[in-house]
Amino acid sequence: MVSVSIKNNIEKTEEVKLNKRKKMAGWKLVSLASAELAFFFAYLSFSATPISSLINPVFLIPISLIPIFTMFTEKNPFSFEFFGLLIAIIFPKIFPSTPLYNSFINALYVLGFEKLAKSIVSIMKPQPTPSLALIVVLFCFAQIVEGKKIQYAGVAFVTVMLAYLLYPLFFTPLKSTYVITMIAVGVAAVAFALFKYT
Amino acid sequence: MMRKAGALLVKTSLYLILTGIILTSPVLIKLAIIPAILLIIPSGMRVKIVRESWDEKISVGENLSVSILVDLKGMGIVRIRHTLPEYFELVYGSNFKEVFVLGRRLVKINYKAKATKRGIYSLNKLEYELENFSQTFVKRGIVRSSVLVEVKHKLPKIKKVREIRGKAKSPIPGIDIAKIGVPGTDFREIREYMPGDSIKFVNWKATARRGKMMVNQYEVEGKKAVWIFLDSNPYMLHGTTVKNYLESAVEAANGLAYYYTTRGHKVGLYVVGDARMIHPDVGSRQFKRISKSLLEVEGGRENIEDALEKCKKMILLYKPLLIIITRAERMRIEKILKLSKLIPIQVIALKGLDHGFSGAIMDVARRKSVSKLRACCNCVEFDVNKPLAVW
Repeated sequence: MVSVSIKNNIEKTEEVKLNKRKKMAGWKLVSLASAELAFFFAYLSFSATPISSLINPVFLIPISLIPIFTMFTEKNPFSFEFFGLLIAIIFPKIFPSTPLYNSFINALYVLGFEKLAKSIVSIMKPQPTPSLALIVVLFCFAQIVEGKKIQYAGVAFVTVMLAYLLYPLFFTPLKSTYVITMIAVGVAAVAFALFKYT
Repeated sequence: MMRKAGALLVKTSLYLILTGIILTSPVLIKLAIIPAILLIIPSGMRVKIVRESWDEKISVGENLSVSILVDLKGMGIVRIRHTLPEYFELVYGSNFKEVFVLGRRLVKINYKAKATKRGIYSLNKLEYELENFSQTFVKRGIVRSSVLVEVKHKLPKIKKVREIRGKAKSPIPGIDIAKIGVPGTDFREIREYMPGDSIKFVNWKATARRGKMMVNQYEVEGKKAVWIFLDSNPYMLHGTTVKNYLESAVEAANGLAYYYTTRGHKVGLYVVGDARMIHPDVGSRQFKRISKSLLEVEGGRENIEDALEKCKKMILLYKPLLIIITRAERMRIEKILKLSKLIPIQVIALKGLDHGFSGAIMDVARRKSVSKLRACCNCVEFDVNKPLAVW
């Protein structure tokens, strides 16, 4: 009698594990799709930069295999490390529109490296970066759906899209980068405090 | 409580801010707001039990039906679980519900669970987990309900307790009368006056004849007392949690208590191990008292000999029929031998759960003890795998 109940328990545990794996497969596929889509946006952004004439974007394609490999482990296919890698791919598009880049080019001019400055400017031109926001949104979406039932992916998608549509409204009335920075740091501090004390 | 996703969103937000500050990129800093927006979405929900219905009293092996209607008001994902004690086995429906709420929603939890062990169980915990709309924060809580369930053993219908030949003077108390109680009208004897005796019982003629105060002694009303000694020592827990010697002993004690109380006997109970004692008394109320006490038996360590010594005064006062429900192979017979000279004793020796080689050894030990016990008192072997009414 005892051995039968133990056997039943083992069978039940195996069944629970199997069900858990089945459930996990759903969110992992959603997360994988998000990661691949984000990679596609990053790839397109990189291809649109003049730096792509120096480094062939085709060499970036193996990076798209990372989420597929990650999917077979217990981790989220769209990991934070992969997100950091995508930001690095877009870097040539973000950096030229920053004051740091401009001051660097100006410094090169002042120091007499005009040719070098011109050649850098020719390969790194300031460009709009709409795909960056989409990558952030897709990453947030992939994190939210982690471990969830597939039916809640729709709710998560709606929430993330709302955040994507609403976030510019936070800046329109302010029109000052410094104020934005202060607000962003404040929000981050509040979020950090919530994370630590809850 | 923040979920893992929430923590990662904080990390993302901080990463974008730091990268934005280092690269002096307003675009990155602006984007840090997206994860922050997802974090600030509040979670608010009101969980209220509207209606609940359940079976208050069931027997072991029967299904308990529970139905709870919960009113949810707010926004987010809610998980509700009606916590079941470990001795309940879910057989129909589910005690767990997960729903998405936008505004108001009524959720019904309907399930049936099989009770596998006797006891009084409080199923008053309705646990809930609320997740905000962005699924980044989780709030857990408990709503108290009033579900209280009494799980009893099915009352075995014992028609007759068989008499087994032994050296005990009177193993069956049906024909005996009580030693203490209210005096009746049946005359027993004339004895010397004792302090406390009523004046109305003084026999004046006998007093004049003997020259010292003599009183009439009458038979007291009521039948002989029965005192059940239930062994709840750890060795009684041999078997599974559902089927073990203790559970069978409790079932037997419950059946015997019912058998004797319905026949007008005074019935008492002592749980060896728990040191739980109920003095002999008559009536259905006494049976209910014993039955309730049996529900709470958990077990403990105590020798039967010590327990008998502890109750010796009461035993000599009531002179009851002692029914000891135990595993005979674990008993020390010497004390029983001594006591059997004073009062009738019946030992119910449990068997049937020992298997294999060790089981065979225990069987030999039990038979030896039983034969020794049969020399001084009434001893019945009870196979716990068979229905109680058979023995």
